[in-house]
Amino acid sequence: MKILLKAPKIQSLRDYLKTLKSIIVNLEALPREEEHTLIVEKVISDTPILAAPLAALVEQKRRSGCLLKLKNNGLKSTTLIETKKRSKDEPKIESIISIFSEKRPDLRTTLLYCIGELIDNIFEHAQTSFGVVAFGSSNRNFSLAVGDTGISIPAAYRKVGMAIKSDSDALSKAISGISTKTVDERGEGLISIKRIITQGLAGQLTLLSAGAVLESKREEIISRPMSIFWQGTIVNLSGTIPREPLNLYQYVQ
Amino acid sequence: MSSKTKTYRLKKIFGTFLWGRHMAVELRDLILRDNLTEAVVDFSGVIFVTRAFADELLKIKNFFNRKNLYLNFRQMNSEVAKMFSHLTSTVSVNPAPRLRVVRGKFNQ
Repeated sequence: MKILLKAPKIQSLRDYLKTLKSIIVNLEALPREEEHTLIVEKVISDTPILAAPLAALVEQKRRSGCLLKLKNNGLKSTTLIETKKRSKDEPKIESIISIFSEKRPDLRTTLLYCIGELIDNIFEHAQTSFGVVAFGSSNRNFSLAVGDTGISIPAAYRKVGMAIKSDSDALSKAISGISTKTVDERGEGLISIKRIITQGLAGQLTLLSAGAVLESKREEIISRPMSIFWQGTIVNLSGTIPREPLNLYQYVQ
Repeated sequence: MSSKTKTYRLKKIFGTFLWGRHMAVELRDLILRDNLTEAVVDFSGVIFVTRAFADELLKIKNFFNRKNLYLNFRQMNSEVAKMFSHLTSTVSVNPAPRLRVVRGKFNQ
């Protein structure tokens, strides 16, 4: 069966959630016994916040026995990271950051730091064996998304017995640095990334997990329920490349 | 006492990107199996390490020091070195009191 995944131009969070819902519905409906070919429209594969969750869902389907092929360029901008073994996509991570390597080593370090923190979060909290990284840039703007189909942030809090009022509350806690881990093992990943993106790069952090979405821009944080449910977590970082070199460690706790 | 040294080339064992505490723990287990007095951890070819990996490796280094097994880090590129330097200059490496969550009712 051939499935065409289309999307309109994403101009708002609402457009994005509608497209993501369509992706989830289309993939969840695929019968396992048949071979399927996914034709992904360029607007999806070129938008990291769509490409990452799509690639994560495709991988999840494949691991559950579904025969899924990607037609044309597929999801070239994405990289699969596996928790149990060395990723064969390591060279792709190098190529993700290589556009900055020579002229802007500070941005290379910053992107690597953000990717590393988000991947560490998947390994340590999501209870899944893989995550997906997607990256895109044009002119002076860039977008980096990391997605997984693990247990989600609210479920991670509930698992350790931490009280949360709602999924939105869980995301607010996560971005504030409230960790499920002990003092000597906890990180400051999300809170540092938020600082880097909103202060250092004048950008925005979008976090989706379970039934809530959080957006953080400058000093503003808005967390609310969303109309769809994502089993796992998607983090999207978008920003503008600054003209002056960025000192990553001034934003890292 | 005879000394025994071995070099662990991280790129060969794990690849060029090192992430997660689990990789550092895996390295620790490799070192423990070899019954050494000194272990050289060679970072040649390693492009980047995450904060979790570096933090865990520093804890493992401290743990081995107390057991008279010395870890020497070599051939770090500038980004890897900066990550370790950042960690050793912050609180995370210094032992912090472990908080234990106690659930249940307290009798007054």
